Amino acid sequence: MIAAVALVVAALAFVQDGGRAATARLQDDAIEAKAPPTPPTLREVGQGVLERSRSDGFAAVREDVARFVDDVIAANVYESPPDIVLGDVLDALLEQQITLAAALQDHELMTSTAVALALVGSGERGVARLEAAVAMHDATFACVLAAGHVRSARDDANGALELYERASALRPDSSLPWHDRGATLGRLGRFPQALEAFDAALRIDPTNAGAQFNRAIVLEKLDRAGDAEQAYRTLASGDTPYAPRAALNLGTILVRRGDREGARTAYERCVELDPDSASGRHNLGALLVELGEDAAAKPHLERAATLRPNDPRPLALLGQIADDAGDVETAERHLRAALRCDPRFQSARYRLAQLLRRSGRAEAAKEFEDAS
Amino acid sequence: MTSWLAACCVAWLCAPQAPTAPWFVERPAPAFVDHHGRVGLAKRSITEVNGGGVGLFDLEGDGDLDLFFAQGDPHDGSGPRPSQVFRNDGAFRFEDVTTACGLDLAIDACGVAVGDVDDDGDDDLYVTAIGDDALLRNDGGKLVRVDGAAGASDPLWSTSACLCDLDGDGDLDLYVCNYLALDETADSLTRAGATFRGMPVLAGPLGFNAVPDRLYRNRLREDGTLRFEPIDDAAIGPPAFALGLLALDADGDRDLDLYVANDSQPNQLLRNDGDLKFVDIGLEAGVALGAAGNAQAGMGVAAGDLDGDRVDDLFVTNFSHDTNTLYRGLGGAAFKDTSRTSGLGPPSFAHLGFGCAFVDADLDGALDVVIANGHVYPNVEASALQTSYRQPLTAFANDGRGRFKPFGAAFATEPCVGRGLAVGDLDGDGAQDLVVTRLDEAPLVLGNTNATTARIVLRLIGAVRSGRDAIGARVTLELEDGTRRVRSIVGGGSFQSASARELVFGLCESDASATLTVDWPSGASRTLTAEPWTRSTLTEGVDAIERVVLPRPGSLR
Repeated sequence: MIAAVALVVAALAFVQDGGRAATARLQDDAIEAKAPPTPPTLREVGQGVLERSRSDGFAAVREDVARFVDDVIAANVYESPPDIVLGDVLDALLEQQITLAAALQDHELMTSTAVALALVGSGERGVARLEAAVAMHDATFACVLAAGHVRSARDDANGALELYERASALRPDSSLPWHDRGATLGRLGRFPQALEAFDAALRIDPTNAGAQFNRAIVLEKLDRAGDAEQAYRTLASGDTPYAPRAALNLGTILVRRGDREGARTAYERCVELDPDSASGRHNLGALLVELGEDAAAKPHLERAATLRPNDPRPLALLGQIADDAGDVETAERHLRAALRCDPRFQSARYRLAQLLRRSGRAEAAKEFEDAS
Repeated sequence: MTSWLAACCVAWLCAPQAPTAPWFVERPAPAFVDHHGRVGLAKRSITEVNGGGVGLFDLEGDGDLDLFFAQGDPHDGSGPRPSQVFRNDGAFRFEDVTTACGLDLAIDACGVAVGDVDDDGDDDLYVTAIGDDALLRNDGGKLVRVDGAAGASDPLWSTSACLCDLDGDGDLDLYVCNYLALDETADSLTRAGATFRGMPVLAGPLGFNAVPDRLYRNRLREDGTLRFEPIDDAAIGPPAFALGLLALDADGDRDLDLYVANDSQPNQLLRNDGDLKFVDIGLEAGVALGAAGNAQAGMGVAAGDLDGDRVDDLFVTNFSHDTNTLYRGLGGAAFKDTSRTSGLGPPSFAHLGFGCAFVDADLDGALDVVIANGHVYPNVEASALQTSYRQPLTAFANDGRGRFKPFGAAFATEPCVGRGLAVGDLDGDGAQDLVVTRLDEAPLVLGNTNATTARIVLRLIGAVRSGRDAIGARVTLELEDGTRRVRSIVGGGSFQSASARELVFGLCESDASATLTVDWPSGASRTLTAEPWTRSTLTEGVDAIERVVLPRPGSLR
């Protein structure tokens, strides 16, 4: 979603004007108040922009609105945790922007703002605006494509597929609608058609890494693990944003096949490219545990547990490592932490029960054996 | 190399020395070819891939171990081929005496258990099969089928079995592992749709119905009449796909418990609560599942003290893309999975293990591990899976503390589809040799190459309360320097096979006499002195000890 919004913000930036005066005024206020050097919070910035839009009119703050939306997205505040007040500010600004766009008959601004609203603001209003824009006979390629995204995100797959087809008609030279069509078909489980769509995207743009990556996933679904492996290998050796995930998926294919050394190399590549890949860290750690290399596994599992604190798997493996090393206290702590994430997590239940029995706590063990 | 050397620096073991020469070399095989199912890639159902086992027993009471091979059905319309018996002349020469011993057993045989069921002093056989099993009473070297009259013929698909005294009355009861129901149509047996990691494979056992194991109480009459009485299935737990079986005293209460390795289902440790009542304590004991709390595909089993703590450990072979499992015994029927840390688990990942045994192959005093491997999917090599249909036998050298290193050069043999494995001294030199059955091929007879390290061999004959085969007896060997080693006589073990029950103690560099303390299942105890290079036969309650001097290096045989 963030990537889609970033596209919208880029579009917003394209149409922005003004805002320098407001920025200067902010600076003046800061000097007059002799405020401490601490920068204002996002919320304060947003509220300031909103107040000025009400007093000076939206046109005067359009550039600040665009920057604010960009900052909001960069700060990822909509992912975790949601900030209701900030959301209201954002919605209010985008509503004003879309009103202005309608008044100016600026179709591009209106549709891109609608997409922003649909994705990060008050969804229903944004979608309504976007649908209205798409209904216009001269809807732009970006508008149609964005509407397709919104419909796909809202599980209206057929609606999305219609719009991707329309987008392809508008821009036959773009691989994007074919990619998006493939992604939607893949989610529907229509893998042969999805593969055709990704192939079409790659005929138009062989460098479309997204299409390459998603095509590899579809190949796996079609039991063509060898072809998927080759695709992942190519992607993993490159430097596109898909390289870490390609390395991760390559590792998983190799593990399934039993090529543990190959999988190790792939997972190591994944965490080299993306040190914060929780899945990469976990999978590499789990594989190293299987290989009996506990010392090497431990830091990866600890990192995975930090990156994804609600995932019981790395915690259970850390418990296993500690248990095998005879560190009962640490093992119990990790295993109980894993079970706080998922009380039914089988391996943690089993190992904790075993540990408790060995520690002379048979009664306590029964709780975990009964449900195992 | 460094870690191996370091691991061997244990006071009571040999001086550090990494194994170099093969532990076992191939000897001429008996004239037997396995005919379980269609050959190789033509196999179409699970009934064709489990193969047959081998039993080591003394047919004629001459002291040499003879061989019984369970033969199967080649699925060519001609019906099952006869199982065969080979007489051993004590020098790795085997003569087919099937006809001479009166055996005419054309059943789809799977495995064999050995024991003196009628208490007349010779080895009898129980042969498991797909269909009716067979009980073969040994009447002075003639094998007479008596299962019908004796009431011991299990009609299900039986795999491993064990003859051991489970009710403490001195005669050998019978436990039979059963696998899956064959009431499905032929079409269902060969049905398509099963996959293993994306590869189309033979169906089963998942998708079929498991069937219950069977327990029979031996009601041997004083006049020698054999009668087995089936015990209610409820006594031994729910049906499971059982393949491997051991009888051992897991909880130290002087009766025999049973450990059953199940395919794709939790293994069971059946605690003997007396009067043939059993309770499955596998989960509580920590021997039911793999380290991740998952059921594994148990095939073969072995037991013994691997780490010198005088508590028996348990070992189970499993499927490929999983690992074999070692459960370290902690005492009191408690175990801990040490597959990874022992070094036995990770190297087994590509192998599908079947028969297995603990053997002091290098006679350094520590029990090593030998495994017969071979996949069940003939087409596995057509996939990208990193395994093979024919697989090498594998061996792991024990450093005496229960830590193992793979010893790739242990066998000078080619990869095969290994199934059964049995251990015994086939040439009378006091070192343990191996017999391995191979699907579609002749068996491997593997002679132990060690002729120079001192050893003490002990055979036990129990009195009434211990059972003649003395299963459950524990023997402690103590050397002059205070070093102690413990061995137990276990029942069953491996996969569909029966090993010799005599105990072999490798003395490493020592060449001095040792003290042996025998704790009989009856509770009696006996201490004796044994010289190196001797085989002693000790009968419970009898003062005299039969001793045979073993051939030493350079001696004429």
